[in-house]
Amino acid sequence: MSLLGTRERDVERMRRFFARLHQVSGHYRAVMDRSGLSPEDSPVEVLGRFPPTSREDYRDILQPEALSRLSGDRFVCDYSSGSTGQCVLRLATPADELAEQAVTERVFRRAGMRGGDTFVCADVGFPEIYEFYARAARALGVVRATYLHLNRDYGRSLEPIRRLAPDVFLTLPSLLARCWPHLRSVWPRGRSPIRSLIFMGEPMHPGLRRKVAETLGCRVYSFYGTTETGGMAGECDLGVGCHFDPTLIGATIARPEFVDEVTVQGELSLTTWHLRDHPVVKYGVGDVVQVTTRPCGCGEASPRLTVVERTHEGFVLAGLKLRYQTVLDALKQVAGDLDLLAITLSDLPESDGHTLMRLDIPDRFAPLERELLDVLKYKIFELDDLYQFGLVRFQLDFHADGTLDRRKVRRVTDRRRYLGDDLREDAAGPAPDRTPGSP
Amino acid sequence: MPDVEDALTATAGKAFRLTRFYAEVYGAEPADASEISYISDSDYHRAAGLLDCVVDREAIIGILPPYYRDASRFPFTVPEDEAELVLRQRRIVRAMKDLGVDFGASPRFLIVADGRRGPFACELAKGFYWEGFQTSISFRNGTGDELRQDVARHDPDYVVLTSGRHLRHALERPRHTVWLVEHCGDPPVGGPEYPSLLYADGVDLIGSRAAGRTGYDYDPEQLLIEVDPASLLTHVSKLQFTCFPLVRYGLGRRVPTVDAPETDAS
Repeated sequence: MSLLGTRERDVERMRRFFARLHQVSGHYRAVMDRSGLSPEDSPVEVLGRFPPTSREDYRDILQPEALSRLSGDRFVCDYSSGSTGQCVLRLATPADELAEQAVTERVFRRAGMRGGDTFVCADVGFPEIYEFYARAARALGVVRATYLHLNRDYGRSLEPIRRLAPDVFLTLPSLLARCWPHLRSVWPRGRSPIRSLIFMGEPMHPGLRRKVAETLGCRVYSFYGTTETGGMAGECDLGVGCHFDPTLIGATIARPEFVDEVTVQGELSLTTWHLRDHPVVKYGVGDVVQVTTRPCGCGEASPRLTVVERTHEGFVLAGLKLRYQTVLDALKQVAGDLDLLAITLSDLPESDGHTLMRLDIPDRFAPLERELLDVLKYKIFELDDLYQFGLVRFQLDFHADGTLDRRKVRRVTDRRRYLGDDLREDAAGPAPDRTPGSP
Repeated sequence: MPDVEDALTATAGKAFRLTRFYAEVYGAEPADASEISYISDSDYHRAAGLLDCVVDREAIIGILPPYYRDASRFPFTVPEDEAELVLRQRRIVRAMKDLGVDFGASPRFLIVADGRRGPFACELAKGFYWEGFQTSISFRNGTGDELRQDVARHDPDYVVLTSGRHLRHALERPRHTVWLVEHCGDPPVGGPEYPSLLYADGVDLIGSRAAGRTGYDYDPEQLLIEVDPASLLTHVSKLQFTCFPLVRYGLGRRVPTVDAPETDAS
């Protein structure tokens, strides 16, 4: 089931999209031809019968194809692995950047950003993402935009925020959780200058969300998107799902289950109608979502989506999504017959870093400990950067063969505060140790 | 200087063998330095795109953003692979040491960028992150007073100005803590009293100039910097390229170096 625009101009946009796709993409032309799809056909029918695009398709075919196609053009890159463990580039021409910027401006405007605002983004890296957001913010009249780089010394690196006095603050929930012992006392309770706090990249624990809203006296908004498809959707003041425009980004729900007469749940894939030079059709983003067309109390008629869960076993580290299978496949490079391990994530004291990733592995692989650690440190795209920045530490625990019971072992256990497996409001987990002197 | 000429000839030969662009530029593999032409931007009309200029497209892991977002001396996007990223990072570390950064003190940096230099500033920041230094970015379009206020809010140990036009606003900070980014596509900025980093599109960081010095320090094992005797302009060669070769590529101006500190009289 897909959500599509139905006006004549929406249908015409989709028709032009498929015509261009057939013309410029050898891969998608072959896909369409194999499936008996023609750009002359109804675009609704074409989309309906179009096979999904996988992460592997993106990495192995679409990215190299885009690089060839855009070889003589100017473009920028976003870096992603699509959870494959290897670096994959999303190429964005000026036209595609502007298309994504338009979506982003709408998200920011809906989150209350307005002329005269001060906008601060905070992350541990990836400044180019925030430079792009600063551009979108400037288009809305923001007068001051800053990227605040956070490192392991959260207190020291967060220190300028009081003087920066942001009206709008954007960051990742895991970083917010780590910064919270420092951030929560920067201003008197309920009286921070922050009017809107926007989070992205990860779900936010309801308890943390409530705490942030109360302590900072702000509204909290979710911003949903992926690297491969760009920013897509954002919450309004009511916080009941992220609004999106299906005429720009088409949402397809696989194996839909009706929650009610206007709400379906299922695995989400996206078609980027708005992108011209590196588009995707039915790209599986790895989320199970609920999508509703029920009118929102805010007055906006656009559909809304809410993330229910990931489609695979995995976890998020500083906004980077990793799959259990990605880690296992990478370790198999040195331990060919490793077929089972258990991953446990827990908070580290701030003085020691950010996250401890412990792997429980059968002890016959103990002689390969150094090699296995090298794979984790240097051979997995997402973890490489985080390790270099001191944001993740690895620990290997070896267990007698047979101790790890395939039927019982939990592949991924997340014990981090506000990020762990139990997202109930009262299950916030143990606090990481505080550094001396912090409140 | 036979060693340098041998290195240059080997570099040109490798570029000839591995890229369509240099195969077309040279016609035949250069036998010695005298057969290696000095090239400029205009030579890149021969390239249909970046794929004509790279060694291995499979190895591309990213791009080098140009100094100006919407303008570049190259008619395409310049890529890099992991090996060249590592080499570039070594140049950054060399420059930071040359400019007196105490790596044990965890200094904080603030990069000041405007709308046109945003992507360039981000790439610059990442080079500092890799050394563990907190490096925030102020995306500025405001007045000099606002810049001073911004710097005060961050209170960094170092302010890195991606545009020399911000310098006029007298940051009232110790001069050694204000760094200028100088780009070969622009006229030289100010005098040598401020530490500066020298960049060029396609090369990224070339070298550094400590306060009071007239010539730029650079890594001679990575870069060969020469003056074309005909144009008297500076040309650069990447002696250790693995992805995007540059051989006697013109920077469009004369650049003073520590081994040739005289500047262009014009």
